Amino acid sequence: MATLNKLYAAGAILAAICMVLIALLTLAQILGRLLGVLVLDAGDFAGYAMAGSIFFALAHTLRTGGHIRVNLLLIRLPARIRHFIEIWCLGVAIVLSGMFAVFSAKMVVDSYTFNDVSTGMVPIPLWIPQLTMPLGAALFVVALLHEFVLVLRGEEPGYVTAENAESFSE
Amino acid sequence: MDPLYYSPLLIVALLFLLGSGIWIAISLLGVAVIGIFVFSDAPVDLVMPSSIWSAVSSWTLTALPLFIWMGEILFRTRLADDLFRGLAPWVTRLPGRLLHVNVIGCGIFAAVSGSSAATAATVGQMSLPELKRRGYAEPISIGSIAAAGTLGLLIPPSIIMIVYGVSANVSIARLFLAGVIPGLLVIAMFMSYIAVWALLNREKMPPADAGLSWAEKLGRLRLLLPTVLLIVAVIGSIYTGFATATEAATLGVVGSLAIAWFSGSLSWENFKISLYGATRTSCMIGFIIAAAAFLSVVMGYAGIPRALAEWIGTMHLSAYQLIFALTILYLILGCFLDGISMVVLTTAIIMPMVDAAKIDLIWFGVFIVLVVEIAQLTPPVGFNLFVVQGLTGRDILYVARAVLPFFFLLCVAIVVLTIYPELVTWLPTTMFSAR
Repeated sequence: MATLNKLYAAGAILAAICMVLIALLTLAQILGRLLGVLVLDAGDFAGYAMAGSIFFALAHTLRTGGHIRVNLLLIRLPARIRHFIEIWCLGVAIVLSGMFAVFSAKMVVDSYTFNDVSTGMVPIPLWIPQLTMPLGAALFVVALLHEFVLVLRGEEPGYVTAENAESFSE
Repeated sequence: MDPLYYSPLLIVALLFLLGSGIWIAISLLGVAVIGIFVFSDAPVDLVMPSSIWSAVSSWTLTALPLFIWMGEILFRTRLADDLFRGLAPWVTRLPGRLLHVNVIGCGIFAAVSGSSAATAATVGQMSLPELKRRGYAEPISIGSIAAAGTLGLLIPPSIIMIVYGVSANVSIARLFLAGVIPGLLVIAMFMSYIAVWALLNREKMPPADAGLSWAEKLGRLRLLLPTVLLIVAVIGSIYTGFATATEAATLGVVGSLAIAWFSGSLSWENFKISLYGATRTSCMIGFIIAAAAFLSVVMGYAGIPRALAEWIGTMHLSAYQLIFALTILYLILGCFLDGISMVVLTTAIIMPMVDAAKIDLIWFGVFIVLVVEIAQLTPPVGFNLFVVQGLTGRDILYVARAVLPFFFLLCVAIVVLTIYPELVTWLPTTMFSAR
């Protein structure tokens, strides 16, 4: 369990680094324009950092109750029924995210095989930034499975604990 | 066969998945997967990752995490406190006195924050206890803060506008500028209502404080200076064409870090908390946008939006009638869905209809923002109600009742903007360059 939590934390750190990268790349673009230095493809790279930030943070956001859902009905149900609904929710999520993880891995392999490159001034192989997608999705599936096991054991999943602690953000 | 016969199936599936408590992004993925199997021969293993990748790896979307981060940084500074102390001496002569600080404070904070919940929480955490201590009536204090918080969406920068702009492929810079005049209009409407209420309910108003001298009043104005500078940097740089929305967001992040530094609230710990908070929020929204992008591609394959647009076309509705029908639809949806889901579903399904009716897409963006604002105020699911509930401990129905007059004012604002669309479309046409 501790190892898994460390994995999610590592994902969150990577995601945060990507976030800082977006800011730095954009800043470089502004400064470059002021100083008359051409900063190549900063926009494209910022976009890749954006994707990385979203995918790497999926698992951590799940565990901290960050992904929103309509739980109005849910919180009014008796604990026993709620238990089964959580199993249903996690089951559906595992199937769909599993598909996403596998399909995106396939896409990266295709990009690699066909040598897809970015369209900017400095063409880089697309599989490198795209790799964040299957990695993040796989970590997300692991986190979902983790919660699934907790629920089956009758424990409270991490996102429920966090949802109850109440935090607001859109 | 006509896709119109199938589309109810997808809507039922979506409502079922959402209602059973499945995360919004996952529900959208689920409906898209069902849709692709039922309606088309397109290979799901190619369409899913490629539509998701192109949605989230876009340069325009990068404005989103940066504006969220900026709000997270400012939330942890003394900015709200300074806003209150700077504004308070200037409104004591108006009927309604300090209640106006709720509205103006939210209006100003909205110009540096892109989220309505953050605006209501930041301003409210400081103004509500102050108002209570001085004996202002609770319903109007609560109602005005919950309602004015929604200005965070309308006054640029705005997270919802970025989501709409990215999904509908409309210039975010223009959307931002389009929100300015409607935002001022809503501020004016809220303040007028408060003034009239205060004149009609004199017995509920506390006695006035002693006024400050002019020197002191002007001295207090200095407290507003950092915020004003930040607003000028962010909105000014977009208006003059100096910066794109993303670049303006970066300036905003740097500026708010500077404000946090000078006010002494920038510790390594605070920096990390704000960064992680922003990472989580932008991950949550980005995941929904990604899933919605996949869903819109599938919808497109199935021909549902086009069929819907043609069907609406056969009814020969005028633009006004269409807007009216959509407003009703959104008001109902808004009771159950959050704003971001409403916007991404709109762009996946309703856009071709709006296009066919020749409604300006920038205007429609501001319209969507207004209905989302209203949705934040309607129970059972209304984010601003939750925020104010958290701040005051009052139950959600009490808060919803307190907010009711402002709910109607926002409806009136929609009517006004529908009759005078120039209020929305004029300012973007005056900006310096068309980025």
